[in-house]
Amino acid sequence: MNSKRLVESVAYFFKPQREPVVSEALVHSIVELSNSLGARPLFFTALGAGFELDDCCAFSDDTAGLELWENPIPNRKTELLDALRRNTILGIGFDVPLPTARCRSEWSFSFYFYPGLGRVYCGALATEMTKASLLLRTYEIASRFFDVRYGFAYCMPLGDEPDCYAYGSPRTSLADLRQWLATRSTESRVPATDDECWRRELEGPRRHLEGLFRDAYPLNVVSSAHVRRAALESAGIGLLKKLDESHWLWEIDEEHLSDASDYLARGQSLVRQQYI
Amino acid sequence: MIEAYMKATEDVLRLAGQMFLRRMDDQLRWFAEDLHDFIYELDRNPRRDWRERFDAFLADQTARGRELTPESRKELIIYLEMWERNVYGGPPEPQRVLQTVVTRIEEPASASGKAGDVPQSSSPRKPTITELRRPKKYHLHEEGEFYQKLGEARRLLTEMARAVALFSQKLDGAAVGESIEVDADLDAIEDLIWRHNDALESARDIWLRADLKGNTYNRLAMMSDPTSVGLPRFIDDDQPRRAKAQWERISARLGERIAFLDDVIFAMEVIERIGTAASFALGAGIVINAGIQGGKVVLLKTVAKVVASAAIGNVIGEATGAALEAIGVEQETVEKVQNAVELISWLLILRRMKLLRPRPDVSPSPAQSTTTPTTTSSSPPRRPPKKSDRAISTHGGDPETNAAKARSQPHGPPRNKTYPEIEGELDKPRSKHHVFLQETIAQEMRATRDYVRITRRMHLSKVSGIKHAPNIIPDNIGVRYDGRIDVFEILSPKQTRAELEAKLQLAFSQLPEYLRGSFRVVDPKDAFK
Repeated sequence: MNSKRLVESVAYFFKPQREPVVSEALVHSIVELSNSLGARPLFFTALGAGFELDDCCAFSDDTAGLELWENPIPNRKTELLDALRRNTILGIGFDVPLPTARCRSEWSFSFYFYPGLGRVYCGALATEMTKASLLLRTYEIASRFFDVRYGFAYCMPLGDEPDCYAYGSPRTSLADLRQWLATRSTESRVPATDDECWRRELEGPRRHLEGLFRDAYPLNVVSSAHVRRAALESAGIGLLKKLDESHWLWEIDEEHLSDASDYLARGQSLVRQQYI
Repeated sequence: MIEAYMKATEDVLRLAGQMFLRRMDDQLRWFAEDLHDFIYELDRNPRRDWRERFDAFLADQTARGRELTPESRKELIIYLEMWERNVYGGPPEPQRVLQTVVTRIEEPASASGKAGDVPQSSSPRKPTITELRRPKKYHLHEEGEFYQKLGEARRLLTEMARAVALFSQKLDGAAVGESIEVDADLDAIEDLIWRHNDALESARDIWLRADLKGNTYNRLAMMSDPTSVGLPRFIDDDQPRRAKAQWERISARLGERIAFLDDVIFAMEVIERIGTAASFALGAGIVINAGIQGGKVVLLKTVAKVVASAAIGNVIGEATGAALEAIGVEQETVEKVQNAVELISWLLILRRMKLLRPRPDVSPSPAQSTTTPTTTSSSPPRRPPKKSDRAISTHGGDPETNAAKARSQPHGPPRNKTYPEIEGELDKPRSKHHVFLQETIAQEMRATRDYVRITRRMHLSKVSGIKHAPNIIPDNIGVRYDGRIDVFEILSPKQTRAELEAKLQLAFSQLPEYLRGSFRVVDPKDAFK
């Protein structure tokens, strides 16, 4: 049931920081955004200052700790705030579980910020107001701290793991793993999927920061480099709005998404085309 | 609760069954390939003493843990007897055909009008009982030959991995200041690479010539190449050119584009990573200097701190301190950066690019040399081996020598080299699924024979030899033969896959590029799908 709930997602990308630091102000902005969506952050994970990115901690004032899904979850909010003040947190994530969650992947709000990897993700259960406002509010937060170069918004069921989709991370079954182990050395001869191309781009050349697109999405935040490369001003597809000096919002109706994708493909502006 | 437990038990049993079948499948595949080789050799060099040879073959298989049932043995004997009658003559017997190994070829209907001949017909028809009882000519099907070539290529890869391991041992065994002659080792590895490509070239040729169908293309496409053990894909110019032409023809036939990476790419990668310097940081403060001594490649093991400046003096090509720095060597500290396989690749490429020059300062005394005497003498650049040089090649060579060499070839993987012990402990207390998956993934990795080291719940820094912050403890780590590290994590209910992937990606970003393999996060929810 939880897995069928629709989630609005936004992903932004910027140049990975050499000395990544998450500021206290940034965390406050995330918490504020979460609260405004009616989702009070319950969990966080952090990197640095004794925190490991996959160690879930409680973020609340009123509980000492939780016991969820047969796992103890300690409350380390004070420790986190101290570390933030000392500028020793290198990455952070907040999430709010659904009331009927059976694991942490079943959330109603999720926000990851990894400056070292140059990415931000924000997802929230779809409501009428979230689509564009989530994009713009997340952009406002991200661009205040980092030089955002590319971003997009999309909607998909929670069960499809929208947070993983943002980074092109595929699900892995034992059968997939076995297949991968068997074909890994010859994988250059097996065509990569669109998601794999995207993941390789994020881990490698990152040309999406310099004008390439993953695909056409209903809402796209693009830099001047994207606008120039794809000649978006004269494309006549969707609506192009200037956000600030060097960033644009490219809005495309659902029915014109495939036209936009074809248009980008004709101009060799898609990441996946670079891997053929 | 009980339902969940039953479901978990069912999953575990199903997976255990799959694992068992997988192991069995592996063994059967090795047996089938060995049998192909045996029959192929017998077909090429028919001998009356085939029964003794067959018994020896079965004994060898038994020693490898593959025992044949009496029924299967009987079936094979019947087939071989049939083959013998066909070769040496004898009374006809009813047909017994092993479809996987041979195919029956209909004799062309002759115009001689002999009794038993069937008049030619324009349309295909089923043979009569009389025809089926008539002695037929049998020969190996082209598909069988195709698989035999793939098997040969696979075995040569295993040989490469073994040669690399031996090279590594030799390097480890040498004392500091001792010079090591490695020309013969490099020749042997080059030879294996060439023969591997030769076998694949033959397989592709058969595929194209015989227009093979079905799963054969997948088998061809999924074949590993020497880069899977960290070695250059090719060692001469002709093989990649021919391979490329073949892949183009295969692409055209399949109607889809197939990417082809030529040797230049690999050479560029190695040169980019290591530079064209004649020094190589081996780790733990050890630097290897390479040069030509008496027409042969000689390595000299030295301590970086003491000889860093001397090493710079010996650098050939881009003889600068920057070149050494690029390969991880600094004046005071040398980090562990390379391993034997990369050293070999580097030497092969330097040799090929004629970048190794005489080293007047390296003069190993006979007592210092750790190398066994070699009969090969090479001066760079080496002539690419010719097909006629290859005793095992099907293109030529003395049959008796071929047979002897073929018999001396190892069948299947060398056990101690390709099935590493799984180090570390299972992550406990964890869910049943977690524990089961951790063990299963380790076993799956082991079954590929691609890893020199496999660990469970061990610090990444302990495996990579590099400081990691944070020093993560993945569920499984595997070190491939080329030194690349693969990492696997199993998701827990209190983790999300996105954050676990980010954690692994950050850890990978701290590894030098040449050590980066891949990482995967397995969610138990997805694992059993």
